[in-house]
Amino acid sequence: MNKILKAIDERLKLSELYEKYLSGYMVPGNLNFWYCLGSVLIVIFSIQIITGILLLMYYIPSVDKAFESVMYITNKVPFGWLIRRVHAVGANLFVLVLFFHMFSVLIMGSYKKPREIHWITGCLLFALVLVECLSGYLLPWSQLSYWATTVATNFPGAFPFIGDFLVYVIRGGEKVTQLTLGRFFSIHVSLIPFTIFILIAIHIFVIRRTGISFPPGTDETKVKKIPFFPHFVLEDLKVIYIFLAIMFLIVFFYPQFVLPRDALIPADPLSTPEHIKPEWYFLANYQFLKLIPNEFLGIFLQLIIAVIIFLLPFIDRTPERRIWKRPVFFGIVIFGIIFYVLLTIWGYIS
Amino acid sequence: MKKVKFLIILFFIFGFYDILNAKKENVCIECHLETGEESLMKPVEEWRKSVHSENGISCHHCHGGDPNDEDIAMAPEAGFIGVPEYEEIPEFCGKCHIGVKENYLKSAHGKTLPDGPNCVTCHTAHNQKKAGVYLINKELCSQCHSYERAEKIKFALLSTEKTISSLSKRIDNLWTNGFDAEQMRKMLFATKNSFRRLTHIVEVDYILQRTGDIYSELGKVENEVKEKEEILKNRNIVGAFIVIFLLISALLFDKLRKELIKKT
Repeated sequence: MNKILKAIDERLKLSELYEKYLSGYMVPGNLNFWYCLGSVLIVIFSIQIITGILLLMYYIPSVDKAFESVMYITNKVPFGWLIRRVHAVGANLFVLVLFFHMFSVLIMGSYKKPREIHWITGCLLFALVLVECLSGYLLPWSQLSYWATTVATNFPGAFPFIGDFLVYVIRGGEKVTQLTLGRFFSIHVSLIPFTIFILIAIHIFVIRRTGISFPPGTDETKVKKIPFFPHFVLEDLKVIYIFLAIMFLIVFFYPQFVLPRDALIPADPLSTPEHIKPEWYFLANYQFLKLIPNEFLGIFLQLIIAVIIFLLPFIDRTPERRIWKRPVFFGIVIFGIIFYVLLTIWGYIS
Repeated sequence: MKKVKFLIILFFIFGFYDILNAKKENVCIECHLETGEESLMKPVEEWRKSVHSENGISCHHCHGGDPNDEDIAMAPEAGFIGVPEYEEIPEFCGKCHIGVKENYLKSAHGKTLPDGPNCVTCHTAHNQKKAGVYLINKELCSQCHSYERAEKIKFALLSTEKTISSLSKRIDNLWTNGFDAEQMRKMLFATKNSFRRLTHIVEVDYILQRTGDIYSELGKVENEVKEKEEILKNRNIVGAFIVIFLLISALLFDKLRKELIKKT
């Protein structure tokens, strides 16, 4: 066995790669829980890809067969129920961890020079993940998916001049139909995952080029460094396993969190369920739109906030990363988060 | 620059026109509420709390007409029936509740038609609640006759009703856990229908005689439910093991890392 491994190594020089990119790659020794969230996201993304491929084997993207095929997966295919639930819970966890990851980057000022590209690719990834979730939401063709998509795809209609055209393009017609399902399915299983994959590759590449940022307030010359493998990987694994435990806890014991009653009823375009609401990660946006008397203004204000967040490294150019030395920024971030959480809760209970 | 400003202002002005002009889903409800007259609004308010509303049974399903077009909503050519006469009520409700109507007409209640008690006497006209043995109560029955006989019937029905209600909850629990409950629901629905029909006969001896058959049918549903509950229980056991394994592993990784750092 050793001889075989040695022979392979002589040819491919794998040990050289191992030393350069794993055991010889040094990272700050004081990295905490927040620095592991990127790895958690990669694991969840991989789980989504694997479960997604498995679901694709049985799923039929047709309005007449979609719900039936999902029922077939959950009731007839061996472990189909598990695969579907992991995919559904994984999508929610992906968004949640992404929120945490971006929050930590924001608080620790890790978006600042020379890490602007990290932030930009991160924001693009965030937007793409939301589109991926939205497009996947329709696929089971349940009451929940049909009506949530109808509500969500209505919003672009508030744009003056081009609103109706936008809605028409997104839906492939005036209403949510087979044409909508077809295009949502297509982007959900090919275009968006592929783009996410490319962006993750760019994100990791730029991280390796600039190195992992030190926690703010630490003296970079004094902080002891540790090898990425096995030291930091073990910390990564710890956090990954904690999130996996949370995921399986929901999968086995609280599937109703992600698959409520309306998700178990086939779509009926003639019967609108009561209290239809978007997914939890869109609840704040939804409630915000309800508060602003004009829908267009509501969307426009949210777009402005999104653009400001996207261009943050170019707006906030001071090198100071310590949050306690940036009281105005800290105040805005805390206010923004409290406002967002309150809107989400309000949207949920209203 | 002025042109740009003008365009931006125009953009906002158009934006302020709320284009969300929600389509009326049911013109019956819209019009009844818009009248502001209590006698016309009350049926809507009561219907909203009813079991019919819960199950998507709307105005036109009973009263006919076209709920999507206010011009022909109440046109006879669109099948509009309107409010039935008192003696027409059993036929009116019996369009859907066929078996119940059949048994009711044979019962002591049905034989007192056209003046005797009919569907709305016990179930009300619009605020119908999910049918159950609770409907046989002193207050309601004593309006027309003594409660003694009704109480005997209630006692005979109570245990079956409890079993049906418990099975219904268990099936619902399985359904919310992702199980295909269609078959079990159909079986229970059929048995429940036979039972509901039975209640409308208002004949104690006959009810007692048929209860055995109904129990045997319920037994079949229960076996199916038990089988699925066993699967759910096993899944939960596996789930608990997986979660515990992941948490213990996380602890071990943490310990291992700390030891490694100590050594280096």
